[in-house]
Order: sequence, then C-alpha cells, then structure tokens
Amino acid sequence: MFKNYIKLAWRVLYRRKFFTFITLFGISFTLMILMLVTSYMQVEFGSRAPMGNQDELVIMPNITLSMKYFDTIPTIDTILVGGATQYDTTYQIKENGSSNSTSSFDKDLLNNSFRGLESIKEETLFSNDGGYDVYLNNSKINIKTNYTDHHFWNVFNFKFKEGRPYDSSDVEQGAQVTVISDELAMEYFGRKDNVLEEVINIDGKQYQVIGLVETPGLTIHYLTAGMFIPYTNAESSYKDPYFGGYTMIFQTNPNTDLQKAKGEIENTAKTIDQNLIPDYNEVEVTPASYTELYAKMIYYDQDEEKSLSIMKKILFGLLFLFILLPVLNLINLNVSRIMDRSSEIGVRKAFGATSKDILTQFVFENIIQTLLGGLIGLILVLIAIYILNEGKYLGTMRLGVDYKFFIYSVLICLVFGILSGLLPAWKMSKTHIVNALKSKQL
Amino acid sequence: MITLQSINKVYRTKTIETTALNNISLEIQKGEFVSIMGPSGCGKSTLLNVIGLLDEPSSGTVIVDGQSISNYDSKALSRFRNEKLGFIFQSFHLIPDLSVIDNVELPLLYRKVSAKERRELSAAALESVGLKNRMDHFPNQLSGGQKQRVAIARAIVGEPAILLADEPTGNLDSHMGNEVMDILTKLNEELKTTIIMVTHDENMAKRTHRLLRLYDGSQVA
Repeated sequence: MFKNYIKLAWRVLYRRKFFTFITLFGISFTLMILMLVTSYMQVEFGSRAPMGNQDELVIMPNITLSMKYFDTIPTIDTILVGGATQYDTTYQIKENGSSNSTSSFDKDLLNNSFRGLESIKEETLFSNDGGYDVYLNNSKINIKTNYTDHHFWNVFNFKFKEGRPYDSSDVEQGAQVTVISDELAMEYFGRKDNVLEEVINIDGKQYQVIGLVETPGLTIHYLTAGMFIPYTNAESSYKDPYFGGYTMIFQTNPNTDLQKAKGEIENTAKTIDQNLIPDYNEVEVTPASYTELYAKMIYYDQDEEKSLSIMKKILFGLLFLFILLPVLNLINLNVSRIMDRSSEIGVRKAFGATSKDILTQFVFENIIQTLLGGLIGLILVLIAIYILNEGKYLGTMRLGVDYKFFIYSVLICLVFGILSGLLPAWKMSKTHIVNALKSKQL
Repeated sequence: MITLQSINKVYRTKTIETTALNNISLEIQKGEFVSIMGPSGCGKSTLLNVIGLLDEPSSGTVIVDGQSISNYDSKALSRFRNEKLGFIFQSFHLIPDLSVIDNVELPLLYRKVSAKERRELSAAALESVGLKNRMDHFPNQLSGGQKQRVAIARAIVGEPAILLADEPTGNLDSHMGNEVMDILTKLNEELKTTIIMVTHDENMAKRTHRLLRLYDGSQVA
C-alpha cells in the first residue's frame, strides 16, 4: 500500500510540474533562508566552537564606579499650638544626582578579587581589543592581539592544528611565546602549517610561536585575534586600582544556574574596597551571559535580561512570520490541489477506499513533498554557505550548517505540511461519492 | 440477487423538493443483464447509484446478494462495494496520474491483495479486454474506446458479482460502443456477471435481457 502511495505521490508531483515547482520552491527556499539566518545568528551569538559552552559562561566586561551626591532639604510647616502659630522644621537627606565612570578592569583587581568563586569552575582574564601594525616585505599587516592568562585555553575550546597552548609557568614567567591563528600564519609566513619555533616581532619584542589554532569563524574580537600572548607581557603606563584593559569570563560549574553565579559575582564586587579613589564611593559590576550582552548592545536597556527577552520575542516573532507565509501558501495550494482531484476521490471510494484510505493517501503525498523540499533546501543551503564562506562575503564570519536545527525546521515544515493537507483531505474524504464523481472530470 | 423495495429518493433544498425516485420496487436475478432507459433527469443514474450503494435512498430497502445494507456503516459499505460491485462510468473516470495497469489494480489495492497477485490479476483483466500491450501507458495516451475498456478491466478485475454501468457507450462512436457492448455481453454470458446498465441507446438496450423504463422517477415498464 505504502509503495503505491509513494508511486502515486511521485506521479502527482511529476505530472503537476508547475504546482510541484511552486511548492518545492516555497519549502526549500524557506528552509534555506531559515538555515542561513540561524547560522548567522549562531555566529553572532557565538554559540559555536570555541565558545560552544556558551550556556556556562558569564561575562564581566566592565566595572562602574559611582558617587552619589546628597542634599539636605528642610521642610517648614506651621502648626497651631494653644492658639499660637509655631514653625515645625523637618530636615531630609535626599539623593541629588550622581556621577559614574565605567571601564574594563585592572588585571590585578580581577586576579585578587574574582578568582576561586564557589559556583565557578574556571575563569579567564584577557585584554580587550588591541593590535599592532607590522611591516613585512614592504606591506603593512595589522596583527590583532589578545593578552590572556593560561585559563583562556581551558574556558574556550580552540582547535589546535599544531603545538600547544601556553601554560601557567609561561604566564608566571612572562615567557615571550605566542599562539597564533592559521589566518595570521598565512598572512605573516605565507603558509598555514609548520610555523612552530618561528618568531613574530611586535612591540619591540620577539614572540616564539608555540601553537597554531584554527581561526574561529566568529565575529567575537577576543576569539579572533591573530596572536594570543601571556598577559604578563603586556605593558601599561596607566595604573589605576579599578580600571585597566581587561575583561573576565567565568565558566560556571556544570548544572549551576547562571543567575546564582551572577549573584555571587555581584556580591563579590561589594567586598572590594570601595574607597580607593576619593571621587567615588560605590563599586558595581554587571555580569551577564553573552546573549544578554548582545541584546543589551542592540536595545541599550540597562537590564540585560529584559533586553534579551525583548530580542527573543522579536526574533521568534519574525521567525514565526517567516514560516507562516509559505505555510499559508502551502495550505492554499494543497486545498486547490485536493479539490482538483475530487473526482479521483469519488472513483477510489466507489471501488472500496474508506475515508481513512483517502486521508492517508493525501497526507502521505504531503509528507513526500515536504521531505523532498527539505532535501532540496539542504542542498541549497550547503551551496549558499559554500559560496559565502569561500568568497569571504561575510568577512571573518564562517557560516556552518546546524543539522539539528535543520531537522527541527524540516519537522516544523512537516507538521505544517501535514496540517495543511489534513484539513482539505479530511473534508474531501468525507465528500459524498456521487458529488465527488460529478465534480470536474478526470 | 438485487431487491429494491419501495425506494424513494427525494432531494431537498430550503425551497424546493425534487423527487428523483418514486416508489421503485424491482428484483434483478443473478446473471441478468438489465438495461435502464428513460429521458434525461428521469432518475436513471440515481437508481443506479442506489443499487451501487453510492447513494442512500430517502426511504425503502435495498437488498443485495441477500444482505440488507440499511444498517451498514460507511466502512462496511466500502468493503461491500469493493468485494461485490464493479463500476463503469460514462466518462471513464480513469486516474490520470496512474498507468493503465495501476488504474486497473485500484479495487485490489483496497482489498489488501499482494502486489504480485494484483499485477497478475490486472494483466489478465487487461488481456480480456484486449489491452495487455497498453499496460504501461497512461490514460491520456489512449483513445476513448481504449479508456472505456481499461475502465471495464478495472471494474471486473476483482470479479464482482454485479457490474453497474452508467452509459458506458455514451461517449463513444457506434463502432467503439459495439465493442464495449460485446465485452459486457461476453462477461455476462461467460462469467454470469449480473450487469445493470443505464443507456440512452435503444440498440444497446435491445442486446440486454430486460429493459426497465423510468419516467419522472417512476418505473413505467
């Protein structure tokens, strides 16, 4: 029976070429765009290697120092005591403005205050955006650098193509070693392998290459640096007890609630000496997940969680609308396709088909059609990603196919495909045989 | 074989009530070849549909092969039609997406017959109507006469006891029409299949055992 359903489904698709083209185009194109958007979002949100464990990460990019100003405000009331008017003066101390300053952290502050928290498995500190221009064979190369501790290599799972990461002793001793990306290797040495023991000169220092990593196809600057260097090599003339050029990322213990970890980090910040600088008397940190920070960047809301909630609603709304349009189209096509075949239904019922047989047949046709559309969609998205990646149309961004999401998308299409076919098929399966036979002739 | 007792069929809308069949009672014996004639709109096709369990009478009893079908649910009716009845329509009603042999297999498909047996029986049915060499063609590659012969093969493949033909020669020229009648006559004579045929053609009707005439929903002869 199923073989017959497949055969008939195939024949129907083959015979009604225009209808098949429109339907398959709708399904496959929708899937392709969905997959590309998802892939883009995964890169933007960094939920891919080396940030694959993003759900466990809490980022603490900034520290905010603030000073609140208070004024004494007198209130004078008149009251009547024994027929005589008396003045009653009340003094209130009210906040009358504040000033604050926000920046990234001093590395010593991070090392001394934020290591070894209870809910944290490991934490890493690293410098923010930095880079040097290097002249090589009369051409200028801009090398992006990131000064990190050795924990960096545990928190982020980079793919090492050669060598090793620097360890705690390299960091403690300020060893002039570096881990470089394969893109920098290509740019600097003209090859993507055999670069260990080579030397790169920047900032008047010679760094020996001890590791080579695959450049992540992400847009997160601290992960896409060309050179990673032990932070003890970084020199700064600027000295401040709070501010510096460093960020800390915490990897929570497995199954730890991020909110709990954030709370612990915030409480830890309150234990910092608040009065190291006379102008300020309050220290605050705002730990957040990567997606919360991303959402905050877009919506500029003070509350990261609220920003993320708004962003999720908008994204899911757009996603829903994007799926809804082709689904409505699919329903419309299915209704007209099934109505068009009403006399076939009449014949089948006359020769013994039950309503269930008719329903199964049409639903089966929809399933075949959707799966075919899914397959074409997958091929299209693979081609599109290959072209975008190879042509470097998205800069350093490298898109990839999330097969799990692909399966979800096909399942969604399948559900809509079945539902869109089910209603008209059910309606037609209940059609009176005589009326069905009288409709448009075969 | 087939007994109709006081069959009435009335179509009702909000404003109009139309009587399609008026108190029809008849009996058709096993192996009979009966034709039904009458002017357009007299209820010929309605009567055939009632006999073929495609339509329900408004009142009256239908007994087919000794079984009253009044209490059958739709699933039981489907099975009964599949096993006992075969249909031939004026406009062939072949499914264009299926090949000739797949069209012929249709009744067996719903009888859960194995694919191999379906193929063998369908090939034999097509051979009996002289179209074995057209098995893999599609309906749009056939002439009108060939299409009707395929429709006959589909109707007889399941060896039904009763064959119901609604103007089977109506869309064919006289030569093709006679060919189709030859096949039906042969089926009736050799396999003793009971055939009830609606026709407008007196010459075709003369080739059957008995002629029923309808006028305004009533049997007049």
